[in-house]
Amino acid sequence: MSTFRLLSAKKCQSICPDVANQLEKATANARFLKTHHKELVQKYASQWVAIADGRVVGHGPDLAALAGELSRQGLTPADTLTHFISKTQQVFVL
Amino acid sequence: MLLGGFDGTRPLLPGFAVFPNLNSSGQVIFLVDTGADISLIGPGDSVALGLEPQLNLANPHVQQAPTPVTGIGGSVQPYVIQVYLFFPARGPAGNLLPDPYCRVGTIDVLTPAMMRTPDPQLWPMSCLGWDVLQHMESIDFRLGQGQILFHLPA
Repeated sequence: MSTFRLLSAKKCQSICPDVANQLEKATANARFLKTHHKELVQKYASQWVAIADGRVVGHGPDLAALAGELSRQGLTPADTLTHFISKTQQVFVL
Repeated sequence: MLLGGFDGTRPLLPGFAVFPNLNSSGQVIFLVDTGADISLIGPGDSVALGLEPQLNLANPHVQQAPTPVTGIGGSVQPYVIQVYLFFPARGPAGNLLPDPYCRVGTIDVLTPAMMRTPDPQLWPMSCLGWDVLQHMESIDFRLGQGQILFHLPA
């Protein structure tokens, strides 16, 4: 089994100089997904949604097509959080 | 500490992943899976992050996992790639600290082609397993507040 090594703050900066900004965006998008989940289910059930800057910037049933659409908008995976909106509640045993 | 939350019933932790050898990075929401031996990138995220087209064994930065990953839906043989996982670190009062928490290692990646069903509803999401979670001092599931506090070693 692999293990994950801790990285120093200095090394973090060299790997991803803009990481603080990226994490801020990721946290904000995750918060949007959580707080608007019911609304997203009503509007986009069984679709992939892409969230950036506190709004839905793309959606559709085909993930590859959505990725292409985001790219045409000039958005990268670093800007967006993409998530599948389930139509029905799933019961998982993990 | 790190701060996670719940999507209904599922414990989640948002983060940012950098795949240095595949020139890719992006936002990921991880399921906190204390029962999983390893962390993985789910099939949806492998497409959304732009990893999928680069995942082939002709790529020197992509390996096949030495052992299959087994879940409730069966076994698959994922790809393995290097990753830096970043998470926002917070102080005792919940204030955001300037330096993130980062772990580097290799992570298994699933693709849609590996799934037994084309229905994304039934695909596993990206998860944090024991290979990452074992490094936490403790994990505090505050169910009433809808929060998960990951305490880091001093």
